[in-house]
This record gives sequence, structure tokens and C-alpha cells, in this order.
Amino acid sequence: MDIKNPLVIETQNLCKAYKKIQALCSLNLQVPQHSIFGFLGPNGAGKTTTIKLLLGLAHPTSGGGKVFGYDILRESIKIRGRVGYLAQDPRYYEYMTARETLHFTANFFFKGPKRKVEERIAETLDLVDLSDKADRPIKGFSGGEKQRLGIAQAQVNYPDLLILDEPAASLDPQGRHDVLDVMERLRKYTTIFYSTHILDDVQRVSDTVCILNKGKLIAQAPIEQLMAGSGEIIYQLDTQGEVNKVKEFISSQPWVKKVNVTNVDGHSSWEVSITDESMEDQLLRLVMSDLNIRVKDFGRRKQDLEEVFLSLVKEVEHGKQQ
Amino acid sequence: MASNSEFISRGYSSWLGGLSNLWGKENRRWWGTRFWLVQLIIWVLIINGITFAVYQIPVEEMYDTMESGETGPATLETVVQHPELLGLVPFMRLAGLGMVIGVLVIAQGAVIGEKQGGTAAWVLSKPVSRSAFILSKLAGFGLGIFGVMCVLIGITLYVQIWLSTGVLIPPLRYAGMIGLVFLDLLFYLTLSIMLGTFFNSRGALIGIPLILVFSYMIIPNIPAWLIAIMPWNLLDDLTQQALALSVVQGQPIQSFTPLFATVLWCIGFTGIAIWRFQREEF
Repeated sequence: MDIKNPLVIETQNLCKAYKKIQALCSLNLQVPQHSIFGFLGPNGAGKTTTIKLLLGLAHPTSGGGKVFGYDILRESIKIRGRVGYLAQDPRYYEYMTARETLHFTANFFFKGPKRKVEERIAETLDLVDLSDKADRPIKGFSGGEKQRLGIAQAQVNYPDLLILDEPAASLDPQGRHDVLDVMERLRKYTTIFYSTHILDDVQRVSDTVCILNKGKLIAQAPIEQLMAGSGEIIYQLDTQGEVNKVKEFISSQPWVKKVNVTNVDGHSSWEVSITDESMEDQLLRLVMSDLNIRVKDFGRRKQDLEEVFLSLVKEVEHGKQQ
Repeated sequence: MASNSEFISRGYSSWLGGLSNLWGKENRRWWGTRFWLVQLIIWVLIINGITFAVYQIPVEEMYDTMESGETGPATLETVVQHPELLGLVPFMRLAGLGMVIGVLVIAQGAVIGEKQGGTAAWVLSKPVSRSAFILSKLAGFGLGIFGVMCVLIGITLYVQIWLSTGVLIPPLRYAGMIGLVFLDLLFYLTLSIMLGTFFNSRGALIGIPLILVFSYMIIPNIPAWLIAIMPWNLLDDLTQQALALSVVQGQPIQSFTPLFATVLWCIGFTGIAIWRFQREEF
């Protein structure tokens, strides 16, 4: 991995077992400063366990790690002094109001000045759009409001690292949009390390991604690198008309690796794998050279994160990759 | 957006980090809501109600009742000369049983409630030491119990005894007695907090201390050395006259062992609670 920025989080063979269950196995994580780091994996992959280990809420079975250069076992309190954390299912003192909760949180970090702390709390409430509900007890808050309060309390202390555990998982589409929006607004101030199983969210806001499955790291890279996948060049076409003749002709070209055509409702859907990107125009010309074919759509296939994720998980499960 | 350089940051102590904020939160929970008032009303109704009832019974009749229970002051003459004892002795019995149960009920959720409710994990994700978490519970609940069950109830009882008997108990001696009541309650508070770090069941938290409370009443032939190192003799007459009674009457103390032992128990329970909580995973 090419790391231009210093690392905020670095783990070495971090392992955690609960009785006989290996929740996390030899995790070597590297989170660069100022990244929005998507920590991706299905439920039970070990994402929350990793976060708890980083924050000192759980203790590793073996291995270790550092956050801001501080040891996660011995210097946890210094780490937590620079981190903001939103839990997957955040719980607060329900008798407190949103403002009191932020006061309580801010008091762990700041002694004063009082006016500045008040300003910061107001600013934070505003950021998450809770100003009008600031003085209501939390027990009356909806799930989305609690989640926004969670983000507010996590960043009231100007954290150098924001750790968010499934920040949008329990939200409706609008709530999800709002949360991702807040994350994008915060990216210039802090490093954001967030876990999720919602691939669209990762694709939208992350610049670096780590994929975890069954407690094991299966990929870690900048998102562009990951999306480029294996480097295969595949073009997709949508055509109308008889395709057998031209398919045979294209398949015989030396720069063509593989041609797949499926017919649906009079349309033919093509996937042509080629070895040379510069043959793109030639491919289109060859298809169009058959006057019985009308090309309705043509373009290079973009892998989405879901495909990358599923193929990586599949590869690991088939024992091709460790 | 403002910058954090404009703020005065706290130092992050690995031992007491976050204590003042957590203690403040516990104090607000006690004193910033109606909680203290509800507790006060409950204990006024119980303590002052029973004391009122006691003073409605003729002294001789009351003395007979106390004698048959083998728990009363030594002689009828003593009771006649010191009618305040008719208010103080039942109070000490109630403190040693009723108030202890009250403390156990109030404190049962102090640690378990936060562990199960998820708020402990949230708080401990901030720069808070686990020892501070436990000490804040002890300080917050301790202050609340001291303020309501000892000071406020102590004052109402003092006034009630004065109005009922005309006797003004020497304030220092009375304060000494109230101090011993608090020490007894503190024993059960620290025990409850310690058990909260080991168990996730509220039943165990109430059950185990209750076994201790009742054990000297139901287990025959408890060795004298065991009675000496437990808090039972602070408020009840067992191998010696109740320590609190000796203090309030200005009599010589037969043995300070129960007092020192109880203080040591409290320190021990707190130390074990901190040790165990350091190992807790969330």
C-alpha cells in the first residue's frame, strides 16, 4: 500500500477470541491520516470487535496496535482523548437533553472557557440539525435523531479521529443521506474510520477501503485501486439483430480474450473481454460493420464495489487467497 | 468551525480521568431531579412515622416489648431517664435493616444498569478511567445516601425526639451515631457496587448482601471473631452493646474492631470492584 500520509491507526496481528470463537484473526490495519476509511464486511465479520479493541473497550487476545502512536492497551485513555466515537447502537442517559449530553461529553475534554464550550455545543447541534430539539429529553428522540446526536457527541471535541460504527445502518434513506452528508462535511477536519456493510455508502464517501470477512482482512487499498479489480478490460454492448456471424468474427481477433452474448427480448447483451484498451474503437467498428446489427449501447464495464466485495469474499472462501 | 486551540484541555489521568465530570453527573442524578425528595419522603414516612408511633406507647409497655425481643437498653430506669432511647434504638434497627435494603435497591443498577444499558460502554469510549467510573458511583451514591438517609433523616429524627421528649441529645454524640449508621450503609453500598462488577444479575446483587444482613439473625452460634469483623455490631447488640448506642450515650466503647473492620471492608470492596472493572469487556 502506498501511504503518503502518516498512519493514524496501525495494528499488528491483532487477534480477539471469545471463548472458542475467533472474532478477529491477525488483523494488520493501516489507516492513513485525513482519509475516510471504509471498514467493510458482512455482519459478524469482526468490525465492531476491531473498533472496541482500538478504543480499549475490549482487550486483544494477542497482537497489538497503535492509534496516534499510542499503544491501544497501555495508553488507551490518551487515544480516547483524541477520538470521537459513535457506537452501532448508541445509548445515552435518557433523562438528559441533547444539550446536556453534549455538555457532559464536552466536559471530558475541555475545562473551559465556558462561553467557548457553549458556542461549540450550539455549533455542533446546528451541524446535525438538532438545535430545535436541543432541550428535550433524549428518551423522546427518534432513531434518526439519536443517530445524529451520536454524531454530534462524537465530534464535539474536535477529534483527530472519528470512529463511526455502522453510522447509517438503522436509518431511512433520508437519514442515511444526512449522515453521509455530515461525514463529507467533516472530512477536511479529521480522519474518519467507519464500519459499514452498506456498499453504496462506502463507494460514495470513502477514499480508502478495507474488507474484512470472518475476522480476517481480505483486502485493503485506496478505493480506485480496489475498483480497478484484476485489471481486466471488459466492454459491454447492447445490440439488436442477428449476432452469431459477427460474434464469431470478433472472437477470432487476437486481442479478444472472451466474448459472452446473452439474448433477452430481442436484444443481445454482450460482454467482450480484450487485452488492449486501445482496441476499443476497433471493437465498435467491427460490430457495426455488420449492417444487420444496430448498436444501442456501448461502453467499458465499470466494476462496482459490490462485485469487488463479492468476488473477494468468494475467492477467500474458495481458499484462493488468504 | 471554531478550532480546539481556543479551549482549555483536560489532562487525561489513567487513574482518575473523568472523575469530576462523572461525579457531577451522579450528583445531578441525585440532587438535580426529584430523586432525593422521593427518597426523603419515603424515609421520613418510615423513620419518623415509626418513631411517632413508638412515642405514643407508654414507656413501661414499650420497655416490656423491647425486653422480650432482648434488644432493648438494660433497665427500665435507663429508659425512663433517657426517653430519647425509645426513638434512637428503633432507628438503629431500621437503619441496619430497612435502610440497608433501601441502599441495595437504589444501588442495584449503579453498575449493572450501565453495563446492560450500554451507557458504560459509551462513557468509557471517552477519556475516562475505569477506576474513575467506579469511584464516581461510590462518591455519587455515597453522598446521596449520606445526605438524604443520614443528614436529612438524622435532623428530622433529632427534632422529633426533642419535640417528643424534650431531650436535646448532645450534637457531637448524635453525629457520631449518624456517622456509624452511614458506615454501615457504606459497607452495603460498596459491596453492591463490587458485586455489580462481577454479575449481570440484579438478583445476585440484592440476594448476596441480604444473606449477610440476615445471617447473624438466622445462623446460630456465629463465632465472636466473625461478629467482631462484620458491621453487625455497629447498630445492633450482639457480642457487645451496639457501637452506635454507646457513642450516642457517651459510654465507653467496648471494642473499635467492628468500626475499623468495616472501614477495611469498604476499602477492600472498592479495590476489588476497580480491579474487576478494569477487566470488564464491552
